[in-house]
Amino acid sequence: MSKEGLREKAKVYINGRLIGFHDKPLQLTKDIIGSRRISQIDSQINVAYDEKTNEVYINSDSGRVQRPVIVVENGKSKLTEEIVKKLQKQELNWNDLVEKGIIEYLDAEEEENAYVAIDDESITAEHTHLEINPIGIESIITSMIPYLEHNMAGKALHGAKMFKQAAGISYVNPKYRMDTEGYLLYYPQKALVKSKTMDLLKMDVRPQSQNFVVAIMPFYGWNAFDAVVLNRGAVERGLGRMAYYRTYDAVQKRYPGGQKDKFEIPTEETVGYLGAEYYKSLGEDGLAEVEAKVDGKTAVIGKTSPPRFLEEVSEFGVVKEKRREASETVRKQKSGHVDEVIITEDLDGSILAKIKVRSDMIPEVGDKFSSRHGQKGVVGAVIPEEDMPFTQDGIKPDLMLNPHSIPSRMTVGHLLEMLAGKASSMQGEQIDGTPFNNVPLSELKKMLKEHGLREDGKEIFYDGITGERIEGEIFTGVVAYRRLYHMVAHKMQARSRGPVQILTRQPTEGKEKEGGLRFGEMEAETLVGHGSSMLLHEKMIEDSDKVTELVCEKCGIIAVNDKIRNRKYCQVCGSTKVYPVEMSYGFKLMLDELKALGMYPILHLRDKV
Amino acid sequence: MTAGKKSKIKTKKIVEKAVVETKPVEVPEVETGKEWEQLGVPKSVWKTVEKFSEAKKLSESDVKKLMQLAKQEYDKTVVEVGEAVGIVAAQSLGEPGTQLTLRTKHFAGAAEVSVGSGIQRVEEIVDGRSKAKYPSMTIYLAEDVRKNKNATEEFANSLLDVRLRDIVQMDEDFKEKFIVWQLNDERMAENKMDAGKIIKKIEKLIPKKVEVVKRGTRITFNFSKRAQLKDIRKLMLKLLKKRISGVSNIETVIVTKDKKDEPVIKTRGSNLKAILRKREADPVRTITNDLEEIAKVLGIEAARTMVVKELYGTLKDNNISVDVRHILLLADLITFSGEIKGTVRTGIMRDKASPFAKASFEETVKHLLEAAFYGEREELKGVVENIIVGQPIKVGTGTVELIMK
Repeated sequence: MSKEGLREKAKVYINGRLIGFHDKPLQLTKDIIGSRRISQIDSQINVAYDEKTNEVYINSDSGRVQRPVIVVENGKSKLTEEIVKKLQKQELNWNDLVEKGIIEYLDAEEEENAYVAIDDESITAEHTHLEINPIGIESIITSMIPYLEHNMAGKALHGAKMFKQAAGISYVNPKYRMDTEGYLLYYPQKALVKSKTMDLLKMDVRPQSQNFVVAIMPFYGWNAFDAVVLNRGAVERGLGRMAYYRTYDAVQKRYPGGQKDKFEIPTEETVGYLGAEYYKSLGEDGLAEVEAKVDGKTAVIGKTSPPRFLEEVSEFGVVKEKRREASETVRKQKSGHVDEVIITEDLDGSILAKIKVRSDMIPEVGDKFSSRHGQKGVVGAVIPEEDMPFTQDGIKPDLMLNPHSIPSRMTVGHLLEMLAGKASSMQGEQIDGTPFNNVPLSELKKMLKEHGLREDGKEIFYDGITGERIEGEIFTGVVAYRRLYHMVAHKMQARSRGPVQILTRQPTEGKEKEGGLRFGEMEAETLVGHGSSMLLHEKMIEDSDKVTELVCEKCGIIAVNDKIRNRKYCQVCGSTKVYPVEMSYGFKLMLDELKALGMYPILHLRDKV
Repeated sequence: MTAGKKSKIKTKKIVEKAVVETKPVEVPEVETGKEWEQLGVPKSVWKTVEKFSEAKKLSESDVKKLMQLAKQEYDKTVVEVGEAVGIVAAQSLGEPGTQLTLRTKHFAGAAEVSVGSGIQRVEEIVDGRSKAKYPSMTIYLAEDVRKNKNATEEFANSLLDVRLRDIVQMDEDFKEKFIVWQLNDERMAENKMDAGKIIKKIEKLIPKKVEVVKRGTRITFNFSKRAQLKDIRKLMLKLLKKRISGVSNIETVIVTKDKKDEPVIKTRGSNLKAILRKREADPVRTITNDLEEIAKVLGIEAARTMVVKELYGTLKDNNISVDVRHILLLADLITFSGEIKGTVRTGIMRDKASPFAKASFEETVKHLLEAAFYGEREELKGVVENIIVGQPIKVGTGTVELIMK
């Protein structure tokens, strides 16, 4: 075949490798799909034709994500009512459907050639496939949001993102797990409004939410700007309460020469002994006792290491080994109770101790909560129960959401979930809020009416402080809220004085090291722009690494202060004409480094005033 | 410089008095623009005042009042001593720069010449790059050409840089040592060229020892059998590069209309020097966006003006409004040395006197070493230098010093 001829033919790739050319790529694609549908070839083989590049891709390798859809031919679904009846009688099963080519698996590439109808009604002659259930167009996580189809798309994403941050019971063996970090909600509840995906994922067995009574109302400004107000009574009854676990570990390392680390309570002879108070929670085996209280100033594993160097043999030939302190401590600012202690072996056969520390995280101002609709908020205040507004029935909301959160975000699903949650709690059973296929608003209204509640979900409230009736009716309902793992207790930090870096004498960086916030280049420029010369000086020098160094007037080099002989002199020329100069330690360091490079930086002095 | 300083000091005094407001504001009584000018108020300000008063037919006392107010307002806008104008300009240009798009605007079809816009163009100007990515000219026309549509078209076509290789298809026969050129009719029609004329031009270019056979639009060159293949090839390639019409570097020509509905020629590619010589072009208004070329042909002052125009225009196209004074400052900085120097380490940074300032920007070690080699002296006059050594910077509140008596 000539080269020209090849150019017109479609390239055929199998698993990304070019294997040949074909005259009729469309026919080829059709044939392969046809033989897959009558089970001549495996159901996991996919084929796609790219019209633009005139290439056929056949894929049969592992690692592709596939999804099942119903085949549509000539505008008619292949899953006829006849077959559905057979399925109901259990004469057919899923595998039969796949074998008969009623359902087929598409991968990402073949999906490009498919035109998938959302439901039976919308099938046209052009459609090639039909969704098994309309929620198939959403991801697993997104389809857990009830009444999703009423929300703005962006909010669905927000909501889905926060499913990953919610605390709950995400595993069945919490007691035996030794995660470095873990969260466990104390009283998780089944969501009153659920979706089918949640059933499939068994979210009722391992829930991650609690059903809050929510009133959409402002509360003296405490829930402005996306804050939420919590009811202290509810919090004290366990609302949003969770445990935070952190595991600390230590190994009894072996060293060459037969020496070993040892778990024990270090004695006063130990080098670096930190005082009896530091080791108070340790048992005699050197490990903290279960349920002992620990914090940043107590050891959880007492450990000593052998001396780094062998000491000289003393006159009598007996040397008492001086061991070093090497205990493991709870992280700064994280306190709690020892939950679990285990001793096992690591891969090298050394003894390994793991200690799980649990701390109660009671909701407080600054903790984060979110509904499933992307309506997240930070606790602005925890109000005493007696001050909370109440309805005519005496119901006090668990959470008050600012009405400004609703209109601009258009999370109508949130409002529907409130109604559905309210109806569900009156009805005593869960309500299906599956996207595209849920209990409609009219039904919810009917349910509420049946139970003597207002159809529109509004209630009349009385101010808890004054007892006066609050003007206007307040929309109230029950929503599944999630506690997110961002908590002030783990983030709060402040510094006035504190540790500095050894090399530069500038403040340390980062929360763990009690560091400051960097006043960087761009920040400095803003002060220059304002002409705030003195403030800039204070931030960069006084609050950082200011030093007063002696400088020799003659040599222009840093001089020394001999405190023993009480003499200030220059080490280069011996002159005593040295003067104190204020500078940043960073600059002094730079001078030293220049000197180390063989340069001679001379400082010319001038009177300050 | 001194005049400017004087006016600044005066300014301060007046503003202070205006703030106190216990006495009526003392403003020298002036009526004509000349006196205003002496006070340091620019022409544009007092011209506006005069125009306005004339239009509204204000009484003499009212005009005076208005002028006083104008003077006051103008003084408020004058920069005060110690203001960090450079940093403010940098921030004012830098922050909106984050909003600029990376996208290049491409216009479909031939309706418009695509010009780099957004961040690419701004970067090009600020960095003072000698080669613009999308050089382009806007050629205004002489009055007689402008009014004649055909003449305009003709002139536009005559500018297009056409080389022989654009209209010739070449077939080589190295065995028989002859070469055939076939003129492409389509291409010639596109450029409105006459085959006869072209063939004549080609004949002139060919050395005499080569035999030329013409047959319609087909030309055959017969070489002597002893000619070296290498030489034939060399000659032909050289010939193909020859320009047969137009101005070099002008790649595309489009006749459009400017904002005032006046016909102009827009080009891709730029050759200011050659175009300005053309009788048909208006040498006053014709511009190019190639700053380097402007600096070469028209001088650095013209280039400075163009830097301001281009920067301001590009930002405006992206719906970003920046005070011109920031851009003026930047343009001054770029051009004050007499040539265009970008705000990069090979540009204005190289001319800095302070080794610390240079070292704190880029290539720290190189600058420190250089300073040591030549025994340079750091005067500690700038901002970064003083931050490095830990002294208050000499800007704003740091401008003043105490003197012992």
